[in-house]
Amino acid sequence: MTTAAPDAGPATVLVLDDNPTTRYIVGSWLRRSGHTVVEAVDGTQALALLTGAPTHELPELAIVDVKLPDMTGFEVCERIKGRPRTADLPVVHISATAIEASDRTQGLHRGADAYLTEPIDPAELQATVTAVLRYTRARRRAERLADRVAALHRSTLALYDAADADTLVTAAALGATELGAAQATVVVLGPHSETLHLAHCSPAAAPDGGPDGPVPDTGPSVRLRTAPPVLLDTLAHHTLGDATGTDSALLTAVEWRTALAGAAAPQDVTPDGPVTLVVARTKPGRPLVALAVDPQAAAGLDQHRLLSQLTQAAALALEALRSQAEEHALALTLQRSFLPDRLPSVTGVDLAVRYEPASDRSEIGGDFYEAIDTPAGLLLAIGDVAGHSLEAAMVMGELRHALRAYAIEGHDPQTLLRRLDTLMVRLRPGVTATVCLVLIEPGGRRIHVANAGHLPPLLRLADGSTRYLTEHGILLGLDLPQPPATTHDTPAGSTLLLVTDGLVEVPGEHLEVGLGALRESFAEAPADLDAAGDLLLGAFAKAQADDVALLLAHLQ
Amino acid sequence: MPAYALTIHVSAHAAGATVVVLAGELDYHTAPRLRRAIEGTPTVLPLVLDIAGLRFCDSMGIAELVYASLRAGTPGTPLPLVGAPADLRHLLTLTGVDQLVSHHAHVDQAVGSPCFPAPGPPDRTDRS
Repeated sequence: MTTAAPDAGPATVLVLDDNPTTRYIVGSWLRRSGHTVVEAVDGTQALALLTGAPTHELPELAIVDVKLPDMTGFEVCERIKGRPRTADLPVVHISATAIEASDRTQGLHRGADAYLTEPIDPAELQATVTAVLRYTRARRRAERLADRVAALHRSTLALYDAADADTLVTAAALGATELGAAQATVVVLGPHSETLHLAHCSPAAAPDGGPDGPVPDTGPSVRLRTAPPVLLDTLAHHTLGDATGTDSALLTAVEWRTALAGAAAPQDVTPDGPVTLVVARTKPGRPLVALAVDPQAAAGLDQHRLLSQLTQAAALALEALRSQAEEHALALTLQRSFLPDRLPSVTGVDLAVRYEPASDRSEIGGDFYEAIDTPAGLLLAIGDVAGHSLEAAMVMGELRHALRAYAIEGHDPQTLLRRLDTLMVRLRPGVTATVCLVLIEPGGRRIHVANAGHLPPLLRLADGSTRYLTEHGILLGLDLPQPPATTHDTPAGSTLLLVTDGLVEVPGEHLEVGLGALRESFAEAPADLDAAGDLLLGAFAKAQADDVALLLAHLQ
Repeated sequence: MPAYALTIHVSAHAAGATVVVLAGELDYHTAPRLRRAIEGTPTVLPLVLDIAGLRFCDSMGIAELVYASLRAGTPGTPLPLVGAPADLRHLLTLTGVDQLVSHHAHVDQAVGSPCFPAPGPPDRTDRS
């Protein structure tokens, strides 16, 4: 503890006695020791006083005469202990006359913390008051610490649960108020290192006038702001510099305001007065996580430690968020680099593609598409490597490049699939993939379909009729033969749709239903390929956790 | 009791086979558990997969069924599947994996088939 005798300070003491002389004498002894005295003349008045007092003005101790005009002191004591608000208010009984030991034990049995009999020795009263206050305060402090440790645990869980920087700073700011801060501002650099996210939390904060509108008055309100990253450099200058670990500093109101103004940070997130700045850095070179609270909130050693741990937890949670964002961005970049950056332009054939990566927090997928202009015609390909790993994306890239190489050599679709199968069995044993190839003959009046276990291509004729081209072989990677390609006539105005299973494979929904719905939507889709692609993606790729690719080809 | 998206129950059949009963969702998240379960079964015994309770199966799930079929006995021997739901049959057909499996109504039928573990050519009647 920071002060020598933290539990011996003055208190507000309720003195309840119907005898004015006793009230005066006991009251003056207490006042002389620095205590504040409130007086009551009977049980009713005392209980009303305790009910009406705001929580922070509640007496810390009650001295209760056993004999009162309206009820006994024992009864008053029981009522005090029976109310949640005053249950831990210690009661010291005094009785005016020498009484039996049984009265004393009755008083103690019924909840009193001490019992004094007249004539009261002033020193004994002082000592009793000090002792009762000491253990009551120690117990309260222990209970508060236990509550706060529990709050820290809750906040830590909320921090690790945060999926983005705003949720994270909000959790940290709320966490600080739960640890006793009247006002708390949390500053972190977003996972993409572009901007600072600030959350200011204060029970008295005015309703947010921002885009979200006023927050209903249920608990502390949080304001979210952003600021340029330079603010963290200033805060680091006051604390850790470039070092790692945790640190704290007391900033004057001027220093705090200057730091914010210097970084062109919003001023409305701050307490006006001085702040205690608590910071943490997990690794060298990483930005600080900073927490600014009213100095009172970090005054005790325990409070300070808890706030420091909260800041550290926020820094670690942010680090996890950042790694995840970096990994996902890297995977997406790689995956995009594996896909064609443009499609060939072939006379008589219009093409459109849509690719939607798997949702932000899940892993990357192995969907791919390709369109290659070959001597035998335009070759379209769509495929899906099983899995959502970097390996799946790598295999996808390899397959696509191998397909290009083999296609340029002029092989027919069946042979292309066989070669890809051989390649996979040799180089990526254990991995399977589905690939569908469609070769559009020059002129566009016939297509050859070779499908290795992929979803069937959908053909729409100019009259709006649609059908799946279902002939197929087994998926690739098993060293099994593929059937010859099947040939279909494609009159002018035909449109082909190739998709990956993310589009129709929904848990809990039948594949048949998904394929049927896709077919219906495609039948009614606009003739414009881009519009049709957007419509299909919008209608089917909503709840998908998987990545989705679709390829549209219109044969004029 | 823990909640599993996929439950896997492995038992030995009196006729000398390992029966793996699957229920729930076989996908990217649960497929590795099936792989480990199948790796733990004796290689000398034929494998029967009871998948009547499989509600969902994605491409990773199909890949696991393929793995199971390759592991179960001699090449070219179809993997006996019991009670495949219509939707899964459809998916097996689409991916061509129906070449690698045979379909049965009951475990006893799959195991007791006289030509077990090769109960005849794959069922192709449901090809769309």
